[in-house]
Amino acid sequence: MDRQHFIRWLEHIYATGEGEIDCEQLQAVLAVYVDEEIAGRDLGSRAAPIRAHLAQCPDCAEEYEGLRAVAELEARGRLPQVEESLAQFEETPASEVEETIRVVESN
Amino acid sequence: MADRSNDDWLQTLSERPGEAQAEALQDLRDFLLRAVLVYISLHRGELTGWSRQAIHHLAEDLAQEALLDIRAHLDTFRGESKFTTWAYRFVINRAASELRRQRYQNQSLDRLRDEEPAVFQAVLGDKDKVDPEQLAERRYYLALLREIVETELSERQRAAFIGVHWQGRSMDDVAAGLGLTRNALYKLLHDARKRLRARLQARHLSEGDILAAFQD
Repeated sequence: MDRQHFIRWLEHIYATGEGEIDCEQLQAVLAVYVDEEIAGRDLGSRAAPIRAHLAQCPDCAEEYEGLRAVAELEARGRLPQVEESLAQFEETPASEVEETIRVVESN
Repeated sequence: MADRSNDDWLQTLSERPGEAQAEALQDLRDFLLRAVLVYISLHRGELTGWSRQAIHHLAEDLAQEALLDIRAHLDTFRGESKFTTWAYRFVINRAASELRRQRYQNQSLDRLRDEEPAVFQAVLGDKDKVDPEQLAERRYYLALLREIVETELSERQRAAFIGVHWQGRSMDDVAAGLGLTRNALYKLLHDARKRLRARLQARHLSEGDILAAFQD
């Protein structure tokens, strides 16, 4: 843990509320929250408990960021095709593929 | 690929098996695959050494598992969001859990607890650069926080607290180590945070008091 992390942690301790929503409650409203955010609509007081949970729960925050990125690409009509995304990764050399096939076939 | 409204998705996926349902399932699976590949791409730094074929295989598995989740939970979709946004949540949840599992697969809670005293070294700062009085103040607050965690929290709260907050491990990973769901772990941590805050406030220590000692 570095100092920035420690400071954030301390802020979270003092920001702890009595009626925080839990992970299941957050997951149940996350898609609506993301769509409204992308559309630029104001969720009003409904947004506060969602933001409070996202600040306290690193796993839910990670999933929110991923969902937001995907939903935003779709809203812009720019969700990449499978091949476009896969092109970012290295292809397995043919020799390795052949070796894998040989091992699988010999078992 | 057909452009479907929320009602179209729900109706087609819920109806008896047939050509229309098979087509909708194929379209949904394609959307899930594209979505999970975006998520994986955002985290590609964690997958160095993975070939394109291995990534494709992983994404196909995650999309297939999410499709089963979605079909099992169709009756919980209330139509307040786009159907696809609601559906992407399942595949992203699966992908995030899998990446976290790989991130922490070689770390046991016990081993990390042994390393706990070292966790605060970076928080103290460089001993040669920090004013000795300020350093003493930082040591005092860190010792106090540790004492509260050691004496005021239950064993499970303490293990959860150290794993998530001090060691920066994922909620899923710590929950698995403690035999809990993520939701149960969140509630455990919430109670621990409330107790810690109450103990600090009982000593009349505000957030600003402690933070002031850790500013440069």
